Amino acid sequence: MGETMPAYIHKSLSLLILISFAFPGLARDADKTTYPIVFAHGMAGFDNILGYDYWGDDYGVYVLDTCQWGEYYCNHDINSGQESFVASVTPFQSSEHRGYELYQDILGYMASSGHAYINIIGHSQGGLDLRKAARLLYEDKGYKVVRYGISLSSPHRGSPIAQYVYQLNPGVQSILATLAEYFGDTIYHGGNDAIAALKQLINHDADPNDGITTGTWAFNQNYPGDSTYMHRARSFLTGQDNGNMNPALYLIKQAWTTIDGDGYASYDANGDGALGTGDGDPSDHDDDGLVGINSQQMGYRLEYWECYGCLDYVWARDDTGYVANLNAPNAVQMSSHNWKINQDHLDVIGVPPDTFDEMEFYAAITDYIADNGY
Amino acid sequence: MKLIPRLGLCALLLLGATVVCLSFVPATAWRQPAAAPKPPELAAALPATASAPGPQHSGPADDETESLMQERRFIEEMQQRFAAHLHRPHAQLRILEQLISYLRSQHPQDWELRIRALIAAMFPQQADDLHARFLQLAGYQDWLRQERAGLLRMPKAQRRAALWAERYRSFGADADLIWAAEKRSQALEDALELADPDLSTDARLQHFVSAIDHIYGEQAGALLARHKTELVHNFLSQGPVQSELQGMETADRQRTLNAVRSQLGIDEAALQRWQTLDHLRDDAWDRGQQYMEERAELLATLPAELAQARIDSLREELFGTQANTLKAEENSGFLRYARARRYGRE
Repeated sequence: MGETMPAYIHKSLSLLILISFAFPGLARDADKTTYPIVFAHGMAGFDNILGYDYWGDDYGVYVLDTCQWGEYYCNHDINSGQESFVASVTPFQSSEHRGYELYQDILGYMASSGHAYINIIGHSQGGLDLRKAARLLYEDKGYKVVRYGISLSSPHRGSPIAQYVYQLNPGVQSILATLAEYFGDTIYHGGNDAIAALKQLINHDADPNDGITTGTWAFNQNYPGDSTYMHRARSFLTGQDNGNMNPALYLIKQAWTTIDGDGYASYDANGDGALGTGDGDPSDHDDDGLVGINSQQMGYRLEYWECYGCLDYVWARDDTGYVANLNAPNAVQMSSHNWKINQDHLDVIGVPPDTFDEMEFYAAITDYIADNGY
Repeated sequence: MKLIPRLGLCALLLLGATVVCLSFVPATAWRQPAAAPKPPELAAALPATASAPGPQHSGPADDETESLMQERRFIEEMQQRFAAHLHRPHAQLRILEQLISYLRSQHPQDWELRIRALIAAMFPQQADDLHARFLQLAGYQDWLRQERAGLLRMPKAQRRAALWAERYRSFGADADLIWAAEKRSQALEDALELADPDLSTDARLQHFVSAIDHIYGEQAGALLARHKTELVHNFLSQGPVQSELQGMETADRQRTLNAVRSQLGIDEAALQRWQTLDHLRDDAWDRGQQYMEERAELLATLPAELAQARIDSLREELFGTQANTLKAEENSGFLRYARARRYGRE
């Protein structure tokens, strides 16, 4: 697999880095992708008209804003011709609903831009939405429109927090009020369905008596995370200890429940709403505040290397294998912490306070996609 | 990829050997980072193997020397990258964020004690100012942590006001420069959302276009070029605009959609593509309405099992390749054609 980096290649890379330090050579910033990048946001979405507060640094600069001559408030690490699009779907809804809206947004963007292919980066629930959009685009166009589908901190196999809130466990008086408290008052806007949103993020069918089938298990059967409807499925995992967690997420953990999200089981063995179980230690960086790491892998894992002294890097990693069937990852894929980014669920988007460099992170993803042909 | 001739100051541990190389770099460009080849291309040129360690240093190492050299590289990189923008408050905060991130990764126990020295090593002339900025940032982030829950509970306008009040308190007038990008997009949002609800779509469009010009000035063209689809989508999503579109005849609606798109930067070729998409969507929604009516009738007149079988056939007949997806949607409780259509967006 050309996009991964085996051990001895790392040594060779070190040698080349050494050579390039020693002699006049190549400085790098992110290459332009062949196909534009579409951003798919998670639950709650954004206040900002263009989504800069979500897909931005902590000061509202859009992560893929290209720099024109003399411009400062932009991403200086990307190619000035980089193309991207920020999709906007209903903040609180099922991924059946949001994925359909994402598909429609992408059709509109394709009409505007003339592009026949796109890449999608989906954060949190956006990683589920992108799978549905990929299928609809495939069925609509008759070919795989989505080249890279990259999920970031996505609860592909469920989130214990969703079940905790849905079941009105201790500390949760009202679903609406609770979601408003932790995600803002967007929940009260028209078109949102808090119940549908939460049911979506629970692994199993949350209510067998409501006449519908919800949850990630059923969703994964219809919208796979493999190469059926998109060319390449990849994922970033996030996990962090409680002390460094965004206060909004830490409050959830402090007040309610602590996720133990790095144990293997072929079903929701501990009944927390996510596939798998725990390893008995909920404090070992096994979740990002909302999602356990055993829910997050789709396709190959991506590694993010924050480089102090050069542009950051992203690589695909194959040592945990490829998750083709999202409902049946193996024990390694559910328990390995390899290549997990040590950040919480909100650090990787423009929600302060944090010191995560969103600009370099998304530039590195752009570079990775470009270098691998898409 | 930019090609920038450079000489670097470096030390890397490679296969157990420490190599130090000295040279000089002009600190002028925004970004002239330490050079590195593209790993995927390198990986593609070599056969794959099994699992790999991360890109951390490997092999026997003098940790202290390595750490010092890494710090030197980091300082050099930051000097090159930010020297030209040191006067900008926003750049100062980005420097500090990266400094904090670096120190936390290298010295998690005592990073705060080291920050002043690292600032001084990096930008000695501006060390006092940058350290003062660090204290401002730390205070603002502490406030954010403390007030986070309360902020989330506030209505949007109140939350925005509270955030700006604290930003001015923490950073003074520099807050306007630090959050300049956010300020512009908030102004754009206000122009759209706070417009008179009785404005016609055409008048609302003129108001919005004028606001873009006013807020973005000479960069308005660049905004439209980069974000025309987002702007069109947001404009068309406004309640009064949708109400007007829903009340129009098809031809008038098409003219209005074309006008909105054209004024928000969609060129002629793209307008043609959009029009084709509009027709496809019109057709899909016509079939969708037919489906919903026939479906309701089947459910009302036939036993459940038979009705479902007939609905499956109807779906196949009307939606072809997307029939199974529509069935999955219905099984989950989502009926896409039972909702009010969002014209221009679906």
